[in-house]
Amino acid sequence: MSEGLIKNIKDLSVEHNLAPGTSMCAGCGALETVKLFCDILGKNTVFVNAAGCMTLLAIYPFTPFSGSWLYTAMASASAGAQGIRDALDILIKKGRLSASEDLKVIVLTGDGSAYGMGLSATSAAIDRDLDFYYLCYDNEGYGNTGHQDSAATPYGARTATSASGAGFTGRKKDLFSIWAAHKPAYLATIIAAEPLDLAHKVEKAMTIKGPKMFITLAPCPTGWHYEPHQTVSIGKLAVKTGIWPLKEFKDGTVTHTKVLKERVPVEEYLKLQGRFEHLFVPEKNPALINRIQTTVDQYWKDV
Amino acid sequence: MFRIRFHGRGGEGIKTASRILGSSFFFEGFQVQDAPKYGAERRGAPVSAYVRADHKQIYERGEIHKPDLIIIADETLLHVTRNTVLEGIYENTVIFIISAMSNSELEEIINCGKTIIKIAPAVLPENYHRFLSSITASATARFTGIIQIDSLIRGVEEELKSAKNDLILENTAIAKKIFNDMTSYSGIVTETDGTPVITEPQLIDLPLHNSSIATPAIRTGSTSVKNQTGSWRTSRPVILQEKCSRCMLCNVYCPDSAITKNEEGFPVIDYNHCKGCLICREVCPSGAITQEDEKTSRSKTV
Amino acid sequence: MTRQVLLTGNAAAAWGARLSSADYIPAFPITPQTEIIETLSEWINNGEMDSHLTMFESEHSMITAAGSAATAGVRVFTATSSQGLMFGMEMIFALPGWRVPFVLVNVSRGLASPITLECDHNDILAARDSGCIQIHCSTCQEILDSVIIGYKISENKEIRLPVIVNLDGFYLSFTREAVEIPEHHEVSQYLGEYNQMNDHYSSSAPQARGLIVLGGSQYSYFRYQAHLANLKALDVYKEAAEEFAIQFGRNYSVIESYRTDDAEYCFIMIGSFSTKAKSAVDHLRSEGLKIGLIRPRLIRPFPSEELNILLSGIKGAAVIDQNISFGKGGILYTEITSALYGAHGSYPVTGSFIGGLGGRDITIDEFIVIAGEMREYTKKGIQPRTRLLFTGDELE
Repeated sequence: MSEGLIKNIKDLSVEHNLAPGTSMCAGCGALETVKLFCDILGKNTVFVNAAGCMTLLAIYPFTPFSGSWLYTAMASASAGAQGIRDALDILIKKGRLSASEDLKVIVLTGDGSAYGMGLSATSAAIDRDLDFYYLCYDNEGYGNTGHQDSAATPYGARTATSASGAGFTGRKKDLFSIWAAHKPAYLATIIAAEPLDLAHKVEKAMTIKGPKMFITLAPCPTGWHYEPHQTVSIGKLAVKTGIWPLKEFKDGTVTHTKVLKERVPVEEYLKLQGRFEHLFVPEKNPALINRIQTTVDQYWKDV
Repeated sequence: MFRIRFHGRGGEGIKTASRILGSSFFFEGFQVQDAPKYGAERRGAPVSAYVRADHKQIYERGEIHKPDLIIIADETLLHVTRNTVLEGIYENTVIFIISAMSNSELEEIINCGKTIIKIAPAVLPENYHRFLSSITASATARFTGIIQIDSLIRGVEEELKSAKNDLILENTAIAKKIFNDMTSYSGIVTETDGTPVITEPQLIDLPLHNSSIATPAIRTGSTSVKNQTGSWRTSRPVILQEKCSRCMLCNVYCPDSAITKNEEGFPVIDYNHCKGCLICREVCPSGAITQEDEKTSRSKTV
Repeated sequence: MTRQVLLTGNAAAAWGARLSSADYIPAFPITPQTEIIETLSEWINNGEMDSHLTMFESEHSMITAAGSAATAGVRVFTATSSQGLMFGMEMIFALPGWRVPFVLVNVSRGLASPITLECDHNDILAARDSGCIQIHCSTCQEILDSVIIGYKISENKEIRLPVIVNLDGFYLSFTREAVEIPEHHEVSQYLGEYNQMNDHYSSSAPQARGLIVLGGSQYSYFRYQAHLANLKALDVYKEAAEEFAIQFGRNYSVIESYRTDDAEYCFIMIGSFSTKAKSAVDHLRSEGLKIGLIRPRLIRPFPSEELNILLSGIKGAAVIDQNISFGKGGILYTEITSALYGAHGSYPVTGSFIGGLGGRDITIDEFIVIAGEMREYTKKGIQPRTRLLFTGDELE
């Protein structure tokens, strides 16, 4: 499927544009994606950030980025990206900046901003056909404040604000469809546990002008309550169970980039995470597990 | 007043330890202040917490700069953040540490204070990390000579009440054991005068600086390498070259860009930055990465 | 050749941006400001202005984009009013810490609730503690000139703070007055080539901006630096105004004083109604009362010393506030009296009058009444209680 340079895992860069020394938690699934993003997009980047875990990537005077960074506010990173993109275009047009100095503008926010407070600014940026990348690291809760319910929290997960009973009783918002309804130039779901799929999508996006939207599921040892070393295994299971469908939207069509003949039961994914422990302990709760399984089955039936 | 400071790592229960101790003092009728000190760092990063207890209302607030007791829940902190851990230590300060080091080694490193009290991990249950809060809080309670076992247990139960019953029972059991084991140290930490030591700060008139430095901006890239997150680690991954197929999957999945490739094409772990998440061990298809306890590894290399 | 034409306050603001060669205009409509961005948009679309305007979906986004574009090194102009300023307030408070230059025109309008479209100053004074510099205008000419002077201060290498130029909704925004429009090249000469300084992003010079700091020491340092820069803007303003006077013949001191030289009494107020105070002064002078007007143009930085000098011979003063801080009173009154407290020499007995909220008129007659009360309380030597300019008829 790839028209880019990355054909297999060996083609991924072993030298990284994102420096070590960040204060992200050990085993951070979001950081894995950011690292891959930086490697594929190259050094000529400016990341525009909204309040979230990743705000702490760059703490004065330490930045891991070989490119540039601007923290704006939780609601308006996409507007900040618009301001920078506009400014770069103006400077190049007026001959005050060489085109060779141009940068890719990337919005980096968590699900708290992307699914909620920042949705309006992002919607408007897509409306304006802003030439930018948007990377939402979706760890399914307000991670930076201790993992409370966000609009991305899945049904049944326990969070700091759904700490008892059946866990979160709402549904995970379908941000992919919301963004797709805006008809951005490119839109995809990704996960760091599937780096080739991710690389192919980012490479494809690099050939496209306009809004290039990405949602990465970001397994979170701290908020999901599992051991840091399980981040990749859990990420792979999210895909194998069909809970995190890998797909893309281009030219009005949604295409699934990984369709499995047989999906692993969701139980295998759920049971590794403390946030779903109440589905298994003190005794198994088949009703709740089935409900989650049925939602996933229904999704894939419609694919 | 008692001024007690805890040091440990994010996720080890240091905050809970300070809350248990705070509650125990409170149940003994003391006025109490207990609080964690948060930074931006996450699980595994060095953290601290403090407890003040007095017979009258406490007017002091914030960090404790001259502690009567320092608890070091993780001895690796002595290597990575010694100055922070030992800040304000003086001739009356008691140090309590969980450590495999010998007494003479510890004395050499710490080299100040009144007494060092040590518990070797070997005498603790293998999974003692799960009970660090109760272990440190109960030892500390005993050192005060004032907190009774009932108040301590009430404190443990109170602070862990959202945990599962089994876990609470395990915690109260170990708290009782440690409290008994530490009987000989009862009262070793003494209350000190509540009067703060006044050192006159030299105030300056801050001048207006150039606008480009007077804003939190970084005018270059990749400066985070100076931030040695290797200090967060409690276990380390070790690559066995003889088993390694040089597939570099460990490099691909390491979130922290802490694995590089050497001239022969083997992955090399950057221990200055590796946080010890062990994703590399998990994803290695040839089982070429093992896990070593950080303390053991350090003593081997030191 | 300079031209004199009739311009609304909004058009004058737009002219200020045009003559200053603003590169970039993030925009969002709100009454009574909308005409500014419509005017700019028209000029850009028909090629009269070499700039780029982007419509945003909110003032919060608009102001974020203004600051972000400024960090990337273009000259930015933007405008808002009232609820819009409030919605963007998170960023109004954040951007001074970025130490980036741009000019924002605020068209003052009272705040909800109740909703009003008409003028008072609670919107702009809510931004008082943000770190943005504030210039308050009383005529359409002053608006145009203040936008230009605003860029000069904002872009100064020691300052690098946003400047807000304030004008009154309706009383200036939609009111035409004769305005002299300077030549574009003369304004360009006055402002000089736009200097990015350290505000730029490029592949060869990466930067991280808007960063979080850990610990109160670093935070205190950066916050206090913005304060010092804001204070410094007083000197920079004076130089910029002097240069402006030499080049364009119009003089704007940090505080406008009208007939205060031998005055025993004075009105103190900001904004467009101060011209009404001038006609009241003329009338009262004709009746033999030695009275004048003091109108601070800068509210941040606050010109305390200049105020003390101007008030040194004054026996009684009346501060007229078109705003209200619930539970305290007039904001300008608080600012003025605190600037006087502990100053050398005697200072006037000062009364506080709240008036002109939500566009309510302040009539000449009311200025006369205030002057009468001022004489009374000055004679008694007692600061009077706050008065609302409100008549029995209005209660009907």
